[in-house]
Amino acid sequence: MIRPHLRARYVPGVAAGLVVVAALAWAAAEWLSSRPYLDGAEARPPVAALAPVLAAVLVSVTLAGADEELERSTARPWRAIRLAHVLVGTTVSAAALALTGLWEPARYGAYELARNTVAAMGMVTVATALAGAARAWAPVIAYTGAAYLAAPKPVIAGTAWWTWPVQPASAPGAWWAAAAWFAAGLVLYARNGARPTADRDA
Amino acid sequence: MGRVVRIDVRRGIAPLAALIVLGVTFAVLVTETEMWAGRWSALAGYLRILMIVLVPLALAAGAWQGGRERRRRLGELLATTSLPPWRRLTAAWAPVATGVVGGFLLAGGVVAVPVALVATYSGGGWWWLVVVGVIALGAAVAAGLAIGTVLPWRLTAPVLGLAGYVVMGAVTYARDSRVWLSPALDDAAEASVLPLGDHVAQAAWFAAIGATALAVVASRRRWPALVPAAVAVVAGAVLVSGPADRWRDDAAAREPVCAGTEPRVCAGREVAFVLDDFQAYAGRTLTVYAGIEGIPDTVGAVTAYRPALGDDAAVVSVRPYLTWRGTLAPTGEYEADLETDLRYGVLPNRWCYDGEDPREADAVWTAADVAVRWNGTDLVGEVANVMDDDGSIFWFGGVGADPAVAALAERLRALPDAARYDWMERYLVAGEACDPAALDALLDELR
Repeated sequence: MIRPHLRARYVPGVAAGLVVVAALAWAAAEWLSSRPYLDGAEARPPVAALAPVLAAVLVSVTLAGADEELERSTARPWRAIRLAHVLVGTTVSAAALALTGLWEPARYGAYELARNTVAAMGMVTVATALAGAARAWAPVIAYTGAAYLAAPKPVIAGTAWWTWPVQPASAPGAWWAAAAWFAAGLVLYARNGARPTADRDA
Repeated sequence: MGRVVRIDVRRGIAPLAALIVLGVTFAVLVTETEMWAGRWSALAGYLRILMIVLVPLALAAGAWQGGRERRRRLGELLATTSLPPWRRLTAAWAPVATGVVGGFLLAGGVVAVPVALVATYSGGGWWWLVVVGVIALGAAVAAGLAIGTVLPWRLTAPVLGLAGYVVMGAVTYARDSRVWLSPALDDAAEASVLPLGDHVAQAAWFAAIGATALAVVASRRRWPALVPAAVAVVAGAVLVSGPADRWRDDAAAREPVCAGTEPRVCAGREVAFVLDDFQAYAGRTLTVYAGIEGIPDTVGAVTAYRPALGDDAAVVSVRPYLTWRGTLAPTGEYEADLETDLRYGVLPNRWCYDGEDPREADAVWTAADVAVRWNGTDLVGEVANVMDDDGSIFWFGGVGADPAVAALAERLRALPDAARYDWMERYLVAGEACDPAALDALLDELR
């Protein structure tokens, strides 16, 4: 049953996409940190903010099957399956991105990449449960762009609850925000699944 | 076609696109009120800075609309209608463009109300920045629609949106005139104007890109796209052929408007709406230096530029303290305090030293930190905003943290009045000359 489930949700293609995202994240971080007019590892916030969003958007493709309502009519433990799906998807995405940021991991490297992947996955799963998997990309992309632009520069810890995409690993508020988003997404998605929509996406 | 567009505006993705653009625009504007409060040109410039987020969202919205026929499996059905492809494409573009531009203008319009209530300067052709921004958003929707039509996949829209962020962000790293190919301003210069020709070239560039994108996918032939493509090439060539820095000082916006004496308080015309507030703060704060020969008798309030007040005037940036209503708040971002800024602002530049010797730099900084506490009153804020010689603002922290400075300031305060005034007057001379040896000698008197 597992193999058809994964294939029906395009998991092999998404896994290949995650490898590409990780490679792009590594290349972008290398380019930024090697610019002579930038500040080495500290120049990587754009990667730490955007790469997790791209990974989460990719994983969102797997959060709904071709016909959600038909799937739910089958006698399967869907809540447990959904729970495991999100946990595995998040762990694999966060690990793939974190591996690209092992150099100076606490300066917009592995730690921030992992934390932001958890948060972005939380936003994506919340959106999937409320608006459907096909549209789950919109809130996280809009939010990350707005937070990146509006965050005080240099960042201040007091705003970490909403500026988590650009916060350093040392800001506890950003970790709590990521945990809150992830918990909300996990609960909503495990309980309700993806909201069925009229779109037929592939 | 108007009826189709109206229906799509209400029921398609246009309302969602409008809501997202409205929310993002409004959210960013209200978190950085000091960047636009009370100034038309600053508001227009900040709306263009926002393009770094809005253009990718417009691209994604356009791409989502472009993939709609495939998602709803309407391609074959629509192919049987007599509507020519260009009309179908225009009917698909117009609602999304209306939603995106509507959300942008509505958010801008809401924050324009408090600006209109206090603005003291409305010149400088600021509306061109908004017009070009609107054209850029429409072009982004068109480009997204074209890409979404050609690549009608589920991930086209989000990947295009994220790619838009990357490209727009990468352009800001360019150090040459290619930055003018982007609709997003890296930093809108305060009290400055762009020449009309640059606005027109940018408008032509974005409009031609949008028209080219629509023409490529709307026509079975390629030649209809040639004309807008040629316009885009010419406009793009014009934009990259000029200098990187095209902002011109707006003399009328910077013209000082002054009030009072002892100290005489001035503000650039564009920020003259804070003059009353600033006069109250400056008058109260600068009594700290009363009686010292050589203290500037004119203090200018600006945002981020050097005003035409003469070399003897002190200049303080009030931008970090501007509220959305155009008043001054005593405490700004990063817990900086206007009183601290004022007290540093009227003294010689603490950051004048550009040598390599750390001991000399320390002497210059320490002398300034002691002088600012000369009569024993401590600083309110731990952080100060200062303006460098080219008008850029930067902030520094820990101004109240060093016990060694506090001990020296205490010894200065313990001197007889005549000696204290004399020390300060010699500090002003040495500080203006940025003479580390003289400043170190002054500190030695206190050690």
